[in-house]
Amino acid sequence: MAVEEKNKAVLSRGRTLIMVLSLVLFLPPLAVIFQASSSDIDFCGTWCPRMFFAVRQGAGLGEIAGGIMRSYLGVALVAGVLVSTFFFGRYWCSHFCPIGGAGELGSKLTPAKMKLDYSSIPAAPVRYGYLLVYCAAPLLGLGSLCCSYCNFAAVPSLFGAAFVSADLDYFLRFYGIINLVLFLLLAVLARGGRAYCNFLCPIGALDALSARFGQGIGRRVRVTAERCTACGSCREVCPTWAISLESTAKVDQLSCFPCRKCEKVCPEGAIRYGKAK
Amino acid sequence: MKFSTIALFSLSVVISAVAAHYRFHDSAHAIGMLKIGGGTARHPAVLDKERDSHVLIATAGVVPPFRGNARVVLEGGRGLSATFHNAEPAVNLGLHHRPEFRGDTYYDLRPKDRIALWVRITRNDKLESISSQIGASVPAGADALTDCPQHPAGSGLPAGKNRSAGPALAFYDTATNDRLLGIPLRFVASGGASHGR
Repeated sequence: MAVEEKNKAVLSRGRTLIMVLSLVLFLPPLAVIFQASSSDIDFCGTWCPRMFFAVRQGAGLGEIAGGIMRSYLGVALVAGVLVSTFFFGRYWCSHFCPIGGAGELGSKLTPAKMKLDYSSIPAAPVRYGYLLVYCAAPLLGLGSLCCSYCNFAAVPSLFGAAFVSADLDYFLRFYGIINLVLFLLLAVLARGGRAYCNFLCPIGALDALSARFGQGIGRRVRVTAERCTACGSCREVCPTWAISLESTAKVDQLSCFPCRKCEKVCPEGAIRYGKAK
Repeated sequence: MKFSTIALFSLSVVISAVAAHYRFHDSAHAIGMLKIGGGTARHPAVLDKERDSHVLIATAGVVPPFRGNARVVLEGGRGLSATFHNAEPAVNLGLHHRPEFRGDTYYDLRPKDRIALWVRITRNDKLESISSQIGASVPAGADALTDCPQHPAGSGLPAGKNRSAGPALAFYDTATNDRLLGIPLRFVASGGASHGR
């Protein structure tokens, strides 16, 4: 319990600070992580966490291996994220992902009246429909969602556009405008700021599967049914609309990440982060 | 499983498939390798022939043992000009080697470097038409596609090797004038599905 309380203090109370730090480390103007580790300046390159699992039709083992080697740091990042999620929950998504964090922080700055509420749309079917096409379309030669619709390219360009011509060029084309609009509608203007993560992030989709498969073993946000009065406070603050109310609150591990806002607001102390009892 | 879940999943698949299939050809992205003997791109860059301006994003890694400078040219056709913007850090922390890009040339490329070049391509059709009417030649530099691979006058180097037919974004070793990478450009009718086929 002591360890869980300590985690709560650092990762729960310091979450906003961690997200801001993540922006500084990953995004322009500094992009420290990329500048320190490679000659890249953003996720598009050695750190690309998405392209390696969008395999093109007719690609041989050499091309697949080449794709993995080209973005080996992105591959390592995804592997690390999936393994850590299995045991500890989706901390990458909730705390460390600079792209999701940028959307959520942007949403915090948006007046409540302007926010769009997507919580009536079940996220999982949308997300896995998108993931299916993301993987299958290039494999079947139908086309590709990879790169064209990538907020991991759009958000760094948005932060860098004031400084670098190449980043400004990103938005002088249809895909740049589409990605900008998607980011605004599904992140900055979305209640909770995480609709893009919930609907259209392939890594988030894989991460959610890892969270689901590991829920019996790893630490997760859980509801103690005996204490829950189904007051709905937790559902109101959940950025990923992962909580449903029946006789008690229920957490969908396919959408939940441990931001632990629900834990903070629960008047009964019925929500905890930990292993299954 | 609920009917609404299946319906939403199906709708998501359909919309995503349409989005994946349809491409806006005002821009394209090509990935390749800069290497001695000539690297190739993963697939050609496909652009809309009806448009007057395009954005091409070319990313490439430098394969050992190449080391040196590389000049970038848009070659193999007429009527287009290009401006180049290298993707650089907003604030260069100097933590890692980075080649310098000036004008149309990368300087001090080293093995395992990676470049990301944004190329704004613009048609010069109107300029050419006006020039022919008044009997004047197109100003030097207005058409980047003619007689490439050009080389700075007086260099004494032979014409570039490995030149291919059709438009291409090409990178040439400034020391030998050998092609290090060629990215074919294909101009197609507006919109559509082709993605590097």
